[in-house]
Amino acid sequence: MRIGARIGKNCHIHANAVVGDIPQDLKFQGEDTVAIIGDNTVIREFVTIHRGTASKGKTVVGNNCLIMAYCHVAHDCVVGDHVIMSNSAQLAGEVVAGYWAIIGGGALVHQFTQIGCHVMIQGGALVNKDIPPYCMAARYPIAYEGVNKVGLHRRGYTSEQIDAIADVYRAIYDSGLNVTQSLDEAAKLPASPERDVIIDFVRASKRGIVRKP
Amino acid sequence: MAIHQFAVVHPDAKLGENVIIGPFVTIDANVEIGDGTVIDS
Repeated sequence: MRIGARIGKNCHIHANAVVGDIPQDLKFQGEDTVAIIGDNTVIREFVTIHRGTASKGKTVVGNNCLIMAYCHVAHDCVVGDHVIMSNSAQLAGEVVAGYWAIIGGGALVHQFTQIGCHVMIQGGALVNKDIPPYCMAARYPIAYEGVNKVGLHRRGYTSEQIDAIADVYRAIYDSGLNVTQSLDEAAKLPASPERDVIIDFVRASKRGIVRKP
Repeated sequence: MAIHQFAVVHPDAKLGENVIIGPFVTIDANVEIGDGTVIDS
Protein backbone atom coordinates (compact mmCIF):
# COMPACT_ATOMS: atom_id res chain seq x y z
CA MET A 1 0.00 0.00 0.00
CA ARG A 2 1.86 3.06 -1.29
CA ILE A 3 1.83 6.65 -0.05
CA GLY A 4 -1.63 8.10 -0.60
CA ALA A 5 -3.62 4.87 -0.22
CA ARG A 6 -6.88 5.23 1.71
CA ILE A 7 -8.54 1.89 2.18
CA GLY A 8 -11.97 1.45 3.70
CA LYS A 9 -13.42 -1.04 6.16
CA ASN A 10 -13.72 -4.78 5.74
CA CYS A 11 -11.85 -4.83 2.47
CA HIS A 12 -9.87 -7.85 1.39
CA ILE A 13 -6.77 -7.13 -0.58
CA HIS A 14 -5.14 -10.19 -2.04
CA ALA A 15 -1.49 -10.96 -2.68
CA ASN A 16 0.68 -8.58 -4.65
CA ALA A 17 -1.97 -5.98 -5.29
CA VAL A 18 -0.63 -2.44 -5.36
CA VAL A 19 -2.79 0.46 -4.22
CA GLY A 20 -1.68 4.07 -4.38
CA ASP A 21 1.42 3.82 -6.49
CA ILE A 22 2.26 6.79 -8.66
CA PRO A 23 0.43 7.45 -11.91
CA GLN A 24 1.90 6.46 -15.24
CA ASP A 25 0.78 9.80 -16.61
CA LEU A 26 3.75 11.69 -18.05
CA LYS A 27 2.16 14.89 -16.70
CA PHE A 28 2.53 13.68 -13.12
CA GLN A 29 4.92 15.91 -11.21
CA GLY A 30 5.02 14.24 -7.83
CA GLU A 31 1.96 16.07 -6.48
CA ASP A 32 0.29 14.76 -3.31
CA THR A 33 -2.66 12.71 -4.37
CA VAL A 34 -4.60 9.74 -3.07
CA ALA A 35 -6.10 6.43 -4.12
CA ILE A 36 -9.32 5.75 -2.24
CA ILE A 37 -10.99 2.36 -1.84
CA GLY A 38 -14.42 2.14 -0.22
CA ASP A 39 -15.78 -0.36 2.27
CA ASN A 40 -16.36 -4.10 1.68
CA THR A 41 -14.40 -4.03 -1.54
CA VAL A 42 -12.35 -7.00 -2.73
CA ILE A 43 -9.13 -6.39 -4.58
CA ARG A 44 -7.69 -9.56 -6.05
CA GLU A 45 -4.14 -10.56 -6.83
CA PHE A 46 -1.83 -8.28 -8.80
CA VAL A 47 -4.40 -5.53 -9.20
CA THR A 48 -2.87 -2.10 -9.65
CA ILE A 49 -4.74 1.03 -8.56
CA HIS A 50 -2.72 4.17 -9.13
CA ARG A 51 -3.25 7.42 -7.26
CA GLY A 52 -4.50 10.59 -8.88
CA THR A 53 -2.79 13.40 -10.72
CA ALA A 54 -3.34 17.16 -10.46
CA SER A 55 -6.39 16.59 -12.68
CA LYS A 56 -8.66 15.22 -9.93
CA GLY A 57 -6.20 14.60 -7.12
CA LYS A 58 -7.65 11.18 -6.48
CA THR A 59 -8.48 7.79 -7.89
CA VAL A 60 -11.62 6.34 -6.36
CA VAL A 61 -12.94 2.80 -6.15
CA GLY A 62 -16.28 2.59 -4.40
CA ASN A 63 -17.92 0.32 -1.84
CA ASN A 64 -18.80 -3.33 -2.42
CA CYS A 65 -16.68 -3.59 -5.56
CA LEU A 66 -15.01 -6.72 -6.86
CA ILE A 67 -11.85 -5.94 -8.78
CA MET A 68 -10.60 -9.29 -10.02
CA ALA A 69 -7.00 -10.36 -10.54
CA TYR A 70 -4.69 -8.35 -12.77
CA CYS A 71 -7.05 -5.45 -13.30
CA HIS A 72 -5.72 -1.94 -13.60
CA VAL A 73 -7.41 1.23 -12.41
CA ALA A 74 -5.41 4.20 -13.67
CA HIS A 75 -4.95 7.69 -12.23
CA ASP A 76 -8.08 9.77 -11.64
CA CYS A 77 -10.52 6.96 -12.44
CA VAL A 78 -13.80 6.88 -10.54
CA VAL A 79 -15.23 3.39 -10.11
CA GLY A 80 -18.71 3.41 -8.60
CA ASP A 81 -20.20 1.21 -5.88
CA HIS A 82 -20.94 -2.46 -6.65
CA VAL A 83 -18.82 -2.46 -9.80
CA ILE A 84 -17.31 -5.76 -10.91
CA MET A 85 -14.21 -5.74 -13.07
CA SER A 86 -13.43 -9.21 -14.35
CA ASN A 87 -9.86 -10.49 -14.65
CA SER A 88 -7.41 -8.24 -16.42
CA ALA A 89 -9.87 -5.48 -17.22
CA GLN A 90 -7.90 -2.28 -17.77
CA LEU A 91 -9.18 1.24 -17.18
CA ALA A 92 -7.01 4.00 -18.64
CA GLY A 93 -6.74 7.39 -16.98
CA GLU A 94 -9.82 9.36 -15.90
CA VAL A 95 -12.31 6.63 -16.79
CA VAL A 96 -15.60 6.80 -14.90
CA ALA A 97 -17.51 3.56 -14.31
CA GLY A 98 -21.03 3.94 -12.93
CA TYR A 99 -22.45 1.95 -10.03
CA TRP A 100 -23.29 -1.73 -10.66
CA ALA A 101 -21.42 -1.79 -13.97
CA ILE A 102 -19.81 -5.08 -14.94
CA ILE A 103 -16.71 -4.88 -17.09
CA GLY A 104 -15.82 -8.11 -18.85
CA GLY A 105 -12.49 -9.84 -18.53
CA GLY A 106 -9.68 -8.39 -20.56
CA ALA A 107 -11.65 -5.33 -21.60
CA LEU A 108 -9.55 -2.27 -22.43
CA VAL A 109 -11.19 1.05 -21.66
CA HIS A 110 -9.80 4.14 -23.36
CA GLN A 111 -8.92 7.16 -21.27
CA PHE A 112 -11.70 9.58 -20.35
CA THR A 113 -14.38 7.08 -21.36
CA GLN A 114 -17.60 7.22 -19.34
CA ILE A 115 -19.33 3.97 -18.48
CA GLY A 116 -22.89 4.34 -17.28
CA CYS A 117 -24.52 2.61 -14.32
CA HIS A 118 -25.76 -1.00 -14.65
CA VAL A 119 -23.83 -1.51 -17.86
CA MET A 120 -22.59 -4.92 -19.05
CA ILE A 121 -19.43 -4.82 -21.15
CA GLN A 122 -18.31 -7.81 -23.17
CA GLY A 123 -15.09 -9.54 -22.23
CA GLY A 124 -12.18 -8.45 -24.32
CA ALA A 125 -13.99 -5.36 -25.56
CA LEU A 126 -12.12 -2.31 -26.79
CA VAL A 127 -14.14 0.51 -25.24
CA ASN A 128 -13.44 3.91 -26.75
CA LYS A 129 -16.94 5.40 -26.78
CA ASP A 130 -19.12 6.22 -23.82
CA ILE A 131 -21.48 3.44 -22.79
CA PRO A 132 -24.82 4.91 -21.69
CA PRO A 133 -26.57 3.65 -18.53
CA TYR A 134 -28.38 0.30 -18.35
CA CYS A 135 -26.94 -0.93 -21.68
CA MET A 136 -24.92 -3.83 -22.92
CA ALA A 137 -21.90 -3.18 -25.11
CA ALA A 138 -20.06 -5.63 -27.32
CA ARG A 139 -18.37 -6.23 -30.68
CA TYR A 140 -15.55 -4.57 -32.49
CA PRO A 141 -15.97 -1.67 -32.98
CA ILE A 142 -17.78 -1.42 -29.66
CA ALA A 143 -21.53 -1.20 -30.21
CA TYR A 144 -24.81 -0.85 -28.36
CA GLU A 145 -26.27 -4.31 -27.79
CA GLY A 146 -29.55 -3.51 -26.10
CA VAL A 147 -30.70 -2.90 -22.57
CA ASN A 148 -29.08 -4.96 -19.81
CA LYS A 149 -32.43 -6.52 -18.92
CA VAL A 150 -30.95 -9.49 -17.06
CA GLY A 151 -28.82 -7.32 -14.83
CA LEU A 152 -31.63 -4.89 -14.09
CA HIS A 153 -34.09 -7.71 -13.38
CA ARG A 154 -31.63 -9.36 -10.99
CA ARG A 155 -31.24 -6.10 -9.12
CA GLY A 156 -34.93 -5.62 -8.57
CA TYR A 157 -35.99 -3.37 -11.42
CA THR A 158 -39.60 -4.00 -12.43
CA SER A 159 -40.70 -4.93 -15.93
CA GLU A 160 -42.28 -1.50 -16.19
CA GLN A 161 -39.02 0.24 -15.34
CA ILE A 162 -37.09 -1.93 -17.78
CA ASP A 163 -39.64 -1.27 -20.53
CA ALA A 164 -39.40 2.45 -19.83
CA ILE A 165 -35.62 2.29 -20.21
CA ALA A 166 -36.04 0.38 -23.47
CA ASP A 167 -38.42 3.10 -24.68
CA VAL A 168 -35.80 5.75 -24.04
CA TYR A 169 -33.25 3.80 -26.04
CA ARG A 170 -35.73 3.24 -28.83
CA ALA A 171 -36.06 7.03 -29.02
CA ILE A 172 -32.31 7.45 -29.06
CA TYR A 173 -31.33 4.68 -31.45
CA ASP A 174 -34.40 3.86 -33.57
CA SER A 175 -35.90 7.23 -34.27
CA GLY A 176 -33.64 8.05 -37.19
CA LEU A 177 -32.76 11.35 -35.55
CA ASN A 178 -29.30 12.50 -34.59
CA VAL A 179 -28.38 12.05 -30.96
CA THR A 180 -29.19 15.61 -29.88
CA GLN A 181 -32.62 15.57 -31.52
CA SER A 182 -33.37 12.10 -30.21
CA LEU A 183 -32.80 13.35 -26.65
CA ASP A 184 -35.61 15.86 -27.20
CA GLU A 185 -37.80 12.95 -28.27
CA ALA A 186 -36.74 10.97 -25.23
CA ALA A 187 -37.58 13.90 -22.99
CA LYS A 188 -41.18 13.60 -24.14
CA LEU A 189 -41.48 10.11 -22.69
CA PRO A 190 -43.07 9.69 -19.25
CA ALA A 191 -40.86 11.04 -16.52
CA SER A 192 -38.78 8.57 -14.56
CA PRO A 193 -35.45 8.71 -12.74
CA GLU A 194 -33.98 6.27 -15.26
CA ARG A 195 -35.06 8.38 -18.23
CA ASP A 196 -33.32 11.40 -16.75
CA VAL A 197 -30.20 9.42 -15.87
CA ILE A 198 -29.96 8.35 -19.52
CA ILE A 199 -30.68 11.77 -20.99
CA ASP A 200 -28.23 13.53 -18.69
CA PHE A 201 -25.52 11.00 -19.46
CA VAL A 202 -25.93 11.18 -23.22
CA ARG A 203 -26.12 14.96 -23.19
CA ALA A 204 -22.90 15.19 -21.15
CA SER A 205 -21.02 12.67 -23.25
CA LYS A 206 -17.81 14.10 -24.67
CA ARG A 207 -16.53 11.08 -26.52
CA GLY A 208 -19.96 10.30 -27.96
CA ILE A 209 -22.04 7.24 -27.09
CA VAL A 210 -21.78 3.86 -28.76
CA ARG A 211 -23.82 3.39 -31.88
CA LYS A 212 -25.94 0.45 -32.88
CA PRO A 213 -23.90 -2.17 -34.78
CA MET B 1 -4.89 -6.12 14.87
CA ALA B 2 -2.40 -8.66 13.59
CA ILE B 3 0.69 -7.68 11.66
CA HIS B 4 2.91 -10.45 10.33
CA GLN B 5 6.55 -10.16 11.32
CA PHE B 6 7.61 -10.05 7.66
CA ALA B 7 5.36 -7.10 6.84
CA VAL B 8 6.88 -3.62 6.60
CA VAL B 9 4.49 -1.08 8.07
CA HIS B 10 5.47 2.58 8.32
CA PRO B 11 4.94 3.92 11.84
CA ASP B 12 2.93 6.87 10.50
CA ALA B 13 0.42 4.64 8.71
CA LYS B 14 -3.04 4.65 10.28
CA LEU B 15 -4.46 1.17 10.69
CA GLY B 16 -7.99 0.63 11.96
CA GLU B 17 -9.19 -2.01 14.38
CA ASN B 18 -8.93 -5.71 13.63
CA VAL B 19 -6.81 -5.11 10.56
CA ILE B 20 -4.87 -8.21 9.49
CA ILE B 21 -1.63 -7.72 7.61
CA GLY B 22 0.04 -10.78 6.10
CA PRO B 23 3.68 -11.39 5.24
CA PHE B 24 5.58 -9.23 2.73
CA VAL B 25 2.98 -6.47 2.79
CA THR B 26 4.40 -2.97 2.46
CA ILE B 27 2.45 -0.12 4.00
CA ASP B 28 3.99 3.32 3.40
CA ALA B 29 3.55 6.52 5.36
CA ASN B 30 0.43 8.52 4.64
CA VAL B 31 -1.71 5.38 4.29
CA GLU B 32 -5.03 4.75 6.02
CA ILE B 33 -6.58 1.29 6.36
CA GLY B 34 -10.15 0.92 7.64
CA ASP B 35 -11.38 -1.42 10.38
CA GLY B 36 -11.53 -5.11 9.61
CA THR B 37 -9.57 -4.94 6.37
CA VAL B 38 -7.34 -7.88 5.48
CA ILE B 39 -4.26 -7.55 3.33
CA ASP B 40 -2.97 -10.98 2.41
CA SER B 41 0.55 -10.49 1.12
